[in-house]
Amino acid sequence: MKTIMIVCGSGVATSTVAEGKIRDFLASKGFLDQVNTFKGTVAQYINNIDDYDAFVSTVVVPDDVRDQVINAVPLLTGIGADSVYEQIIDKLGF
Amino acid sequence: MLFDRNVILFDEQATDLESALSILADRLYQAGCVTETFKPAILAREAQFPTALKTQTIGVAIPHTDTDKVTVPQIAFMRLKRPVKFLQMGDNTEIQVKLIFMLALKESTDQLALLQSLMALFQNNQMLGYLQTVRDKDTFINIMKTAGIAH
Repeated sequence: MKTIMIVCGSGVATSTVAEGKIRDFLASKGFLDQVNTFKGTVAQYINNIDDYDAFVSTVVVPDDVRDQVINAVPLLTGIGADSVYEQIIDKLGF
Repeated sequence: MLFDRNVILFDEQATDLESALSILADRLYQAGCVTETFKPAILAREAQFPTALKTQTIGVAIPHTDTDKVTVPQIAFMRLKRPVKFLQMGDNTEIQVKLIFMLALKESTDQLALLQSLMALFQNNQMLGYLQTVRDKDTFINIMKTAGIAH
């Protein structure tokens, strides 16, 4: 199973919306049964980026890990969402 | 019911982000929806994790904080007379925000559907247009009902 972590400030609001979008997308591509999705707070998981195949955040992450984290805000606004999905597919290796 | 008339504000004058958020948080407190700690928590949270979003047409913000500071679920709305500067969620770029939806929600499955409807609203330029011109609270509430955010 591939793994993807989705974080926000609280782990309940915007990460939940982003998780729903990502799960819908993975289902539409037929990949959902090969991926476990998780969500939580950025504070709790930012030091465990390497534990997941893909790491997605709706909030700003520290500069030193920024290139390892996919910015999920376009999933909320719809502007640039395709690029986010491409990055996720790439990280998951599909 | 969400969008109590006392927490819907049109063309409010605010000089900056702090004053805009304080006005709305005070309204939620006066309406009995949140604890005294809600306002400082909202301000601290916005500073740490900005909540503005750039739509295709205007800047919006969805300030929120931990659910334990909410007693009765509510969403407060403010349209600013003149936009104020916020930072964008996710990348901290500056955004001029015109519409603020302050979320005072409890954890529940309802919250997900509501947030999804709110994000869909932000992608609907026609609805965002209505929100920039609406002048009475009943019409505003009807827009929110059409968007699936109020019932």
